[in-house]
Amino acid sequence: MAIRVVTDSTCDIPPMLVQELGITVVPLTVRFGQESYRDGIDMDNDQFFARLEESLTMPATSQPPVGDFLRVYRQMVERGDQVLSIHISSRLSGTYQSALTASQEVGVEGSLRVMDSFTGSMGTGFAVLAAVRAARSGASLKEAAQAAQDTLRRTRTYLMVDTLKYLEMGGRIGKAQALLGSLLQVKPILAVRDGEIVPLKQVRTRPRALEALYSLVEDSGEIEEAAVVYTTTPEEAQELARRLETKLPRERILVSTCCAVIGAHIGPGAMGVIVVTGHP
Amino acid sequence: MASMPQDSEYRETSPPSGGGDSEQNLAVRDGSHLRRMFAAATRCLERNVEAINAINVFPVPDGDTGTNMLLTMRSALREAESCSEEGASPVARALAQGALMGARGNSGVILSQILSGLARSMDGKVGWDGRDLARGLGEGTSAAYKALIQPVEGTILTVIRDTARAVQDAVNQGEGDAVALMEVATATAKEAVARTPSLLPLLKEAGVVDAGGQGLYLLLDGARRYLKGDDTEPEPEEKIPLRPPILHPEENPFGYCTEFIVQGQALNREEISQRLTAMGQSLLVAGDGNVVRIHIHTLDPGAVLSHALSLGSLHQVKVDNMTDQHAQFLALRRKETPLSLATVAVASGAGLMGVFRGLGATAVVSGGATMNPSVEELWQAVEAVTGDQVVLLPNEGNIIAAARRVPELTKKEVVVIPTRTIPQGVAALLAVDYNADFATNLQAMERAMASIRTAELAIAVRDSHVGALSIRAGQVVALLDGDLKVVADEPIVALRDSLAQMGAETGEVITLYYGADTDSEAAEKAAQAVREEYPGQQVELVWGGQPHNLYIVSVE
Repeated sequence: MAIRVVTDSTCDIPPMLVQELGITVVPLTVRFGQESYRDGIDMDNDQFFARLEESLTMPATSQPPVGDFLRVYRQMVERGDQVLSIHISSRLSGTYQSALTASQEVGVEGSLRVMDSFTGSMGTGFAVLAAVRAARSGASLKEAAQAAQDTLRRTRTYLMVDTLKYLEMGGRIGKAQALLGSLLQVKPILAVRDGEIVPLKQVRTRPRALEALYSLVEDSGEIEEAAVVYTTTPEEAQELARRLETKLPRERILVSTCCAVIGAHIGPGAMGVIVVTGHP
Repeated sequence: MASMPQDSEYRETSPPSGGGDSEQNLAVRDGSHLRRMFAAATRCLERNVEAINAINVFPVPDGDTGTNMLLTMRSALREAESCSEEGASPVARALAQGALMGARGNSGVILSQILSGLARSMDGKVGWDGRDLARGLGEGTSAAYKALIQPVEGTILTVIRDTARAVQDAVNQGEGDAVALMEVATATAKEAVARTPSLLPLLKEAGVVDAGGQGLYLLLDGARRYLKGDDTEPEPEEKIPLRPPILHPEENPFGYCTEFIVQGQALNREEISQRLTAMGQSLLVAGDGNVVRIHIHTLDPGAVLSHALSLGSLHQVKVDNMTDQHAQFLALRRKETPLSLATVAVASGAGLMGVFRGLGATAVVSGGATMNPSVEELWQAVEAVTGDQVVLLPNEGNIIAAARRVPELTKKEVVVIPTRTIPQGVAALLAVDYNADFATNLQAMERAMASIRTAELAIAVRDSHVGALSIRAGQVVALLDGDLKVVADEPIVALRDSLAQMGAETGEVITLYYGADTDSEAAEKAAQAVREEYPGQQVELVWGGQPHNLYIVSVE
């Protein structure tokens, strides 16, 4: 009997790590008109963002159907495994709801747990990694879930977007609505708090926006882990990661490309920084 | 209230009668009828998918509720089709299983739960009747409430609960006929959908009914029509959204929402649709024969109306500018989601007022150098904004004194940041950190105000001497942070001199706000010249629409 950790394709854990740690990733779907792609499987990120920039219409994204989770859970439960399934904020996606419905259907309380991360990208990812680490060192399902929760409490998710357009069109703009319609070019700096997008500030230029992201990390106190997640600007992400080395060792800084589903909602040029602090 | 046949009780489990396609007056139906009833219900939903997507604002306004419900129903039907048994029980189970496997979105999940309730009520049965439907709706309701993380009223949940309750009441009063019960169900669902805006403020604000609830109503209505043997197209849907809640991403945000009724003879819905499709988006054509209702988002309402006029007479014509509507909608949404810091800014010119609003100013009072707002106007704006701590940005030297009177007039804590120019106000507003406390923000705003340089360019109205400069009427003068420092014959020259004196090459962003008296072509040329001269800086040209100043320039 083992503890298996399940997540969805929005967690942005690099594929190598997913494979190495035996994490099960259930994909969401991105659709351009009639064509649909499984996030992270059918289309690589570069192709996706090139298409996003060209596309006049916003791609539609959809959560995995209940059945996808049901199949995964049943297989695991039938083998006698226990399952911890950690997902993107229920305020940003219906994925958690799908997973929860599937878990109720499997109906093995006590050996299958579904968790709402109330954040996204590597914010969810770090919780997944904590759960896997706990499970590998012999923790019970309850303890692994606690490890994930403890990580989520210490996680801060920040992002800068080039434009609020994508968040608005996708209906995920949350409280950053108040900053819509700027006639000046501004780069909004946002955070994910209580599962939704909130505005922090706005700056005039991209270098200042990157600086603002760095300052947010700088002011976060002790940091255990960090991730820089980018949509279209890998060099900037690497540069930001290098600067973060003043705060923590390089091997605990992850640079990862953003999945298509979240990418469709934050747009080209967006970048996120996720940190796990040493304090709640 | 129709009385029900006394023997319906035992007919429940009797074998299905005859089959065939005439379901009317059949007291007992089997699995094949169930399959066909849901196929009809799904078709009814399918015809309205776009309209449902268009009104989707809850829980996430992403315009996919209709699509999610349809995908869920298709998955249910696929499973039911592949079920080779004809009993009610296995078909209902297949429908429920298929819906669950394919469930997408909250509304899809709820649908799957309703179907699972129905499957439970038909468990072990070969035939089914109205009482099974009633019990199924009841079971489905409790399953749906249980499935949701946070059940919210004013949604599909309310609609299914009210419907199940009304149908159960009818059963308790002796009704058992499926057709009669479905009449009760659809009438109740329709009313419940209409009430959703009064239960969920988000819907009311957007001027729409709940999308999921509307989808459920359409499914019920499709089922009712099937049971009645009525295969006519449904009558025009009255519930066309009054205001576009959110723009379709693929839609041009500009244009006119045009709605009207055509009365004529032998109107053909299909033909009208085909003709109008090319003229706009979000086309809805409902009705047939003598009355057709049309809804379209078009850039040219005139063309649409004149085509319609060739078909018959026009009634209840309503044309709304969607750009205005969208702006109003954004303003409404903004009110609903206040930022943690309230700011009142003074600006003149539609462009500049828009700049402040777009940066998150809570209120903008019209006024400037040539038209100072009164203390009362400023005070009223402060009182009107939500929040007990308010920052006041006068953005003009002559307004600071009036602004400083406001704190003594109100119970709110009002702090005046003495901004003397528009760029200073913009810089102060941009310094706000929505995460920080009031005191920290005040410091940040003061600091930002001091770090920006401003030039204001205007035409001299008479000859004069200022220091070493002699000025002739008609020349262009520039005030640099309030002091007259530049005189030139041409605006572009004055602009160059100003930027040089402001040390623009050490700044990061140069912003040109052009005024009401500067035409956009000249402004574009000026901006181009500045871009060439300062390739290392981000140069932005913005329409300010301010009176008096040809340009207001900032370097930060």
